[in-house]
Amino acid sequence: MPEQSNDYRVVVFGAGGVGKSSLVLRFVKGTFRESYIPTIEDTYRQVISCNKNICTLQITDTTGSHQFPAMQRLSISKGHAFILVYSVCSRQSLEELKPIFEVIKELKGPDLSQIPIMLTGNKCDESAELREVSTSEGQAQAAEWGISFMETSAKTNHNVKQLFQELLNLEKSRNVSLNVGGKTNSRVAKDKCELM
Amino acid sequence: MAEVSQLSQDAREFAVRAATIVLRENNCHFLRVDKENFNRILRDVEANTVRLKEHGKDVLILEKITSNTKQVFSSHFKYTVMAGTPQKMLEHLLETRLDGRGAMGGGDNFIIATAQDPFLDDFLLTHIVFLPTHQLIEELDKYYNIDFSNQDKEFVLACKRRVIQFVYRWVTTIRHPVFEDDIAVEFLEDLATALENDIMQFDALQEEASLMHHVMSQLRRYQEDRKAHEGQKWKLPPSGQPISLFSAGNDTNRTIIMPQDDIIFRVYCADHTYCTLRLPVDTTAETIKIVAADKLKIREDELLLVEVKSNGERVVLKDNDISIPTALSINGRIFVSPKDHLDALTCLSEQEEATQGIEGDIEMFGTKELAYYMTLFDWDLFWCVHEYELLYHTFGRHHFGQITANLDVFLRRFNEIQFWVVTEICMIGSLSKRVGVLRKFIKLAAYCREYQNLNAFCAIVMGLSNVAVSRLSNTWDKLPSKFRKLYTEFESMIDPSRNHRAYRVSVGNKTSLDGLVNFEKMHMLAQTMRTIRFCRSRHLVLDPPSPKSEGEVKSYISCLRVIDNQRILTGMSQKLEPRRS
Repeated sequence: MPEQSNDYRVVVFGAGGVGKSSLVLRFVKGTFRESYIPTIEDTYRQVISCNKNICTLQITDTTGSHQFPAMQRLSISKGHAFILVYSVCSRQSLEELKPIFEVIKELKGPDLSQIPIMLTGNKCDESAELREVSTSEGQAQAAEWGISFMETSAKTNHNVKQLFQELLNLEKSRNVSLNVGGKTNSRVAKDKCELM
Repeated sequence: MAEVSQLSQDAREFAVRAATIVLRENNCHFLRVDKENFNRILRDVEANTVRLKEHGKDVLILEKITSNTKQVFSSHFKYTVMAGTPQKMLEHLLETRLDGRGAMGGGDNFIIATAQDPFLDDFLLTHIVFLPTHQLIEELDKYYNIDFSNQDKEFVLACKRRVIQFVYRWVTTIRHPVFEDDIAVEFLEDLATALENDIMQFDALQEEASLMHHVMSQLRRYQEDRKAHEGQKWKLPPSGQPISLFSAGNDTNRTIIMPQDDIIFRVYCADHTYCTLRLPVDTTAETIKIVAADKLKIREDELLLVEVKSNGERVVLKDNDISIPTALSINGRIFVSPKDHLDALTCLSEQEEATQGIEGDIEMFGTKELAYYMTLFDWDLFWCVHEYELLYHTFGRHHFGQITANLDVFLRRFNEIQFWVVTEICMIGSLSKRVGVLRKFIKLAAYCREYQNLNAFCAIVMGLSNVAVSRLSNTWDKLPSKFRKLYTEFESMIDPSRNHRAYRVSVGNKTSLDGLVNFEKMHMLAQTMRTIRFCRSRHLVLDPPSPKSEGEVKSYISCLRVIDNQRILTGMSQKLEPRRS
C-alpha cells in the first residue's frame, strides 16, 4: 500500500449502537437521525490543515459487531488516531472497548504513547436514571490506559467538534487543525505527514 | 472432465454452429448453385414444410424430418418444430410428445428420447425466453382444467395426463429455478390437490399420481435444504480478491449463490470515500445507487452507478441491471456519482496495483499439485452454474430479473488465471528465474490438459500469449526447445477463429419473426445447455498427486495475485526487456 501522505486517518471503534456513526455524521455532515442502521465500514473525508497545508482528514467508521477481525486489524495498522466510543448508558459497551484497546496496543507497540486516542462516553444527554457509567469512571478508565477522555452527545451536538479538535491537538508529530484558513495555500512545502 | 473444456468454450460463447459449408477448394468464398438446382432446393424445403394457420396467419411451422439425415438415433416423429407462437408450440408439444393414454416412458430413457427428438427438452430449457413461467403456468392450468361438460371423458383425462407428465419433465429438467419461483410452487401445490380430487372422481390417473408424488417430494426436499442454507452471506473483498463465502466455519467450496443471499461490498465516491453495503445478490443497480447515496449523503437528483475498471475505464450500470457486485471485472470497483461528474471518477490507488493474493511463491509448489487443486477448485465453481444462467447472460439478466452470479464467478475465475500468469511473469526481475517460471506455467498448462481442465488450460495459454509475455524474447530464447515446441502446440489448440462464434449465432438469429418464436435458435441454445448439464452430471474422479503442501497449495490457488490492467503489464514487460532500438 502506498502511503497517501496527504491523508490523516482517524478510526472510530466501539460496540454496536453506541453512536459511532452518529458522532461521525454529526461532525462531517451536521446531521443526526434517530433510526439505527448498523455500519459495516464507511469512510468520510474532511479538509483540514496540516503543517499549514491543506490535507484530508479521513475518518473510518467501523462496525460494532465482531464479524470482521481482519478488517479491524487493517484499520488499526493504517490509522493515525483513534476514537474509542462507549455509551454512558451501557457498562457493557465500555467493557467491549477493552479487547479493542489491547489490539491497538499490540499493533502500535512502543509508539502507542505518541498516538492520539480519545475515550469517548457518548449519549451524555440521556437522563441520570439511564446512566450506567459515571463521568469519573470514564475518566479513571482513560487514565489507566494513558489516553484522553471526553463525554459527548451526537444528538444534541454536545462536544462533537471539540472531540475531533482535541484529538488532532494530541498529534504532536505534526500540526493538524480543523481550521483551514489564513495562509494555508501559501507554499507547497512538503510536510512530514508520511511518518508518525 | 473432458467436457468441461467444451463447456467453458461454449459457456463464454454460447455457440452452436448453424451450418457448415465445406468448400471444394481452400480460399474459395463463393458457392455456385445453378438456378435450376436452387429452385429445386427451395421446392424441396417448401414441400417438407407444414404451415398451420389460424385466421390467415401462420401459428406453427413444422418441417418434415428427412430420412437421409444421418442421425445416431432415428426418430419416430415425422415433424420437427421450426417456429410457432408460444401457445401453439406448447399445445403441439402436449398433444404429440406426451402420451395421453397413460403410458409414460421411464426417466432412464429420457436421454435416448431426447437424442431422438429434442423438442420437449428444447422447450423446457428455453421456454423462459419466449414464454415466461407465469404464462406457461396459466396455459398448463387452462389445459388441465379443460371444460369437460361436452367433452369425451377420455379426452379430458388425456389432457390431465399430459399436463402432469409435462410438469414432471419440467421439474426434473430444470430443478431449483422452478422451486425458487413462488408462482410455480403455488401452481404445483394446487395441481397436486386437483389431481387428488380427479383420481377420486374419475378413478383413473394413478400413474400420474406417482409422478406428481415424485415432484412434490423433490419440492419438499428442496425446501428443507434451502432452509438449512438460508441467509448465506458472501463478500466481495476490498482488494480485488475473488468473491467468497462469508460465514465462519464453512469450508465447502461447492455452494451455490442464491438470489436472496446477502453480499457485502463497497461503493465509492469520486473522493474515494466509501460505504460498505450488505444487500441481496439480486438487488438492482438503482437500489444500490439509492442506498449508497443515502449513506454517503449525496444529495443530487441525477446519479449514476458506475464500474471503474483498473485501466480507468468507466462503465455506467443500467438501473434495472442486477447481480452487480459479482459481475465486476477483476480489479473493478463500484462508484456512485452525479451524472455531470462522471469524468471526475478515477481509479483507487490500490486498483493500480496487483490484487491481494494469498501469500505464496509459485516456485515453491509442485506443478502437478497446483494443477490438481486448480482443477478441483474450478470444477466446484462450474458445478454451481445452472444452465439458465447462460440464457440470462445471453439475453441480458435484467430481462428475466434473475442473477447470473454463479456464472459470473466462473467467468471471473478464467480471467483471474489468465492475468495471474501474465502478472507472475512480469513481476520477476531476474531473467533466469523468469525462464524457470515460464517453463513452470507451460508445464502447468500441460497438467491441466491432462486433468482435462480445459478452462484453466485455455486461460494459462491465453495468459502466455498475452503481448506482455510473448514479447519477452530473451526469456523465450532461453527456454528449452522442448517447452517451446509444447507451447506452440498448445497455442494452435486455442483456435481464435472460434471466438465470438456463439455471439454471432445468438445475435445473428432473431428470437422471433412475425410473432413466431424461432425455435431453431432455441434448439441451438438448448444444445449448449445440454452439454453443460451432461458435464455437471459427471463425477470428477482424479488421482490426487502425492500430497506435499496440500493446505498451502489449496489456499494459494483459491486467491491469486493479479494485475488486470494491460497498460501496466506491458509497461512492466518493457522495463524487464526494453525494446531493441
